[in-house]
Amino acid sequence: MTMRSDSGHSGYSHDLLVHHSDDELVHGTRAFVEQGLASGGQVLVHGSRDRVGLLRQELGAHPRLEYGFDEELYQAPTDTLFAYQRKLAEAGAGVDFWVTGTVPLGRDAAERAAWARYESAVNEALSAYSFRALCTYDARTLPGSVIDAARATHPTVSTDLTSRTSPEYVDPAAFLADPLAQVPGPPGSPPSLAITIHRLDQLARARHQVRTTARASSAVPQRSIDELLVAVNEVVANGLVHGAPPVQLSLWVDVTTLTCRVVDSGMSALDPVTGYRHPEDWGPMGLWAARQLVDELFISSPAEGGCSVLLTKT
Amino acid sequence: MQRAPDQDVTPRPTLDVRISDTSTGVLVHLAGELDTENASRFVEAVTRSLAAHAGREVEVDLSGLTFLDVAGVRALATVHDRATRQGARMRVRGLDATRLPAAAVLGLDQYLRARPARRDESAGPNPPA
Repeated sequence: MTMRSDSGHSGYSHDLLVHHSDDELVHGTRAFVEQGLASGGQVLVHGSRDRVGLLRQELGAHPRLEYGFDEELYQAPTDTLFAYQRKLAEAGAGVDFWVTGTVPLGRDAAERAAWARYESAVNEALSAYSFRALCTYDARTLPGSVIDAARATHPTVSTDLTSRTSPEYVDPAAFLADPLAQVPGPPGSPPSLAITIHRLDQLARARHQVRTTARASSAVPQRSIDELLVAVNEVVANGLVHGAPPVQLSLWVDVTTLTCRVVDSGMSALDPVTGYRHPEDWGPMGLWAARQLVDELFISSPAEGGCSVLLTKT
Repeated sequence: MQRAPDQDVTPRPTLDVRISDTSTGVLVHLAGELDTENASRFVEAVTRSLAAHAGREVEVDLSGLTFLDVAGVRALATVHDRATRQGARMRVRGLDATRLPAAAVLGLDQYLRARPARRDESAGPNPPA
């Protein structure tokens, strides 16, 4: 059992509060906000407009306390994750961020799973920073599977203002293998485009084929196609250089979604969370850039060998 | 939707680098695609030109670029650092975030504006955060 630290440098924590009443929510949020302000941190309270309205009334104003709405801050999991990372990286040492609120409930099971994967990825992408988070989940309205996933993605669970290690927590790489993560596979239909790439000097031609095929059969905006192209380029180059040639590229084109799978012929597996952490001093950054340019990027190492990367873009 | 057959991918030239003298230094005009395959050739070409124009201005025009990848962003940062180290001032024109998303994600614009090269080459430049 650990109490939250009161020291100046607060380090990283990602705490879960499952509440059964508004009072419980206000009580837990107030304690977190007061602790963040007392330690000199920058505090953000986010959620739906109703929820933020309630908390704003209870907690009042402070120069280092900010309120934000999920409809602006939590539009898409990947954008939110890397926006936090950019903010933390740019702030550097000496600034502590305290964030509390409710991650939005997706419109369907696929969106809910994407937010669950976001909650897990936070532990990889943001754990190098002085970042404190208290995620509040409403047991009255949320589906049981959402609460189960939250218990698996938060290293600690808060009860009566005391934070304890969550027995159900699994690290981000393990969570991706958990059925709760609902990691999607490639579409079942044959791909619209299939290319074999042997050398870096074939990358440009492959990009042109991806662009032409995507433009011809989907309504995905040009900007999204351009972003996917850079991401796919990095993944293929990575497969050629760090895996082994040849690299197989498959593209599925839907009216609203582009799905691309890149499989190299290397022998070694790649950590499924590669590319979440901010690169240091010009270290490898291809996959880190690629993750930011697509909706989601999934790395797997099939039993038959090679490294497989699935990219989705809408 | 028909499945396309497994297609042969043949290479083709993708980058055109034109370096011309101006009254204040050199203008480097890039057209086409700057990527991991041709980035080192671009760096070498500009570095050779820099040696002959120490202390002058280097203007790199990206308005003709249709594609830029992470290696291309690294190459531009490297050229900037070398130019700065040689006392030349490098400016970039046509860096559009929508057309060149890799530059936006890696913060190339901020890097070029805010960070003159201070480190030695062996350590590499600082990453665009």
